[in-house]
Amino acid sequence: MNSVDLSRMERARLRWRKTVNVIMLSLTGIAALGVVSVLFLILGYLILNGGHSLNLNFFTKLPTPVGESGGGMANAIVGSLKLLFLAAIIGLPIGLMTGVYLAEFGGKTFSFVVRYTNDLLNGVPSIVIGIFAYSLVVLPVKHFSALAGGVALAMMVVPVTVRSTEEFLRAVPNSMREAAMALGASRWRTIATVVLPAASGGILTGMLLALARVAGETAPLLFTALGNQFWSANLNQPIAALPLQIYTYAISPYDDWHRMAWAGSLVLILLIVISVSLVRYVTTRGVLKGAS
Amino acid sequence: MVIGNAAAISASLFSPGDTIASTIASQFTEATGDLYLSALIELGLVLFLMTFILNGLARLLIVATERGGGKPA
Repeated sequence: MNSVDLSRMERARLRWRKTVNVIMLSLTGIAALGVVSVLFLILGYLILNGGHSLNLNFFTKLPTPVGESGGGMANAIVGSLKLLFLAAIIGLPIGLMTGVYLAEFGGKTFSFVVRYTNDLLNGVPSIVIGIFAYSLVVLPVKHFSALAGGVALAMMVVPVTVRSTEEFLRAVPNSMREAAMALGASRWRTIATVVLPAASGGILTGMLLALARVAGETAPLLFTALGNQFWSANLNQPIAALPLQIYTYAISPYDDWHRMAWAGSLVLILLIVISVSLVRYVTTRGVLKGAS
Repeated sequence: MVIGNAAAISASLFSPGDTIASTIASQFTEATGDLYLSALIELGLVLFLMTFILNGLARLLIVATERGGGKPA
């Protein structure tokens, strides 16, 4: 009885396994499709709602009072760029140095503490970062400022930069370090002229992705940069930012402000999509690696 | 913001509620007096502690799986 029965059992099991395989494979496929489609749904929805409010005025004019048509978000776009610049000059050097320390120096215990704290900082809710920057920078001087916004964003840039810098430095083969040292290069010269350049493409990608991530943050800016309806040249004064402007316009009760919020969201997401794809394109082509 | 900012606890997932982050964001600008402000900052501390504990648990999980002979990350 056994041989026939066994093969029938085997066939049944095989069929069962194939069915499970097909089901699970299609489930993972659907999930992957879902991830891609969310982005395109958002983009499509934004174009549908904000596309027609987008014109040259949007990029060149200041916001207008309620009821007046025209006007744009020029100050918010420039403000966002200024805040990103501040975040970059404060946060990126700290992140880079910490990453170098973790990958190249650093004992076991202290590195663990730094890495753990860094992960924690990465997980701190952005609104808590906002409150912290508020009490650190805004409260002592008694007024909101672009500088406070930059500090808040910098605190979010640091952990991402540390992580990616460390990862990319670790990816540099040890033989390169040994070769440099064998030629008589000191430790710091090895790191500065051999290891860092070898990892520069990846490190730069990580930095730019970190900046792209904070470019869309609203919560840390609510109590720090505050927002501004006009141009602000002084870094000690409140400054407009694209996400902030979108937030204020979206919760307002006016229809044309809603339209501006849609257009603003579209511009923000397009800026991020374009910069991220540019970074990917440049780094995968190895242009940066070749240049350094 | 889409959660509705309702200062009430409700069992239904379809009725408005509130999160710590949304409470801070919506009430911070209208906080009058030091006590109100301190209360909101305390909320921030609670949220921070929650992430602290979750992060610690995640770390423990990594350590535990590594010790169990799993592939080191």
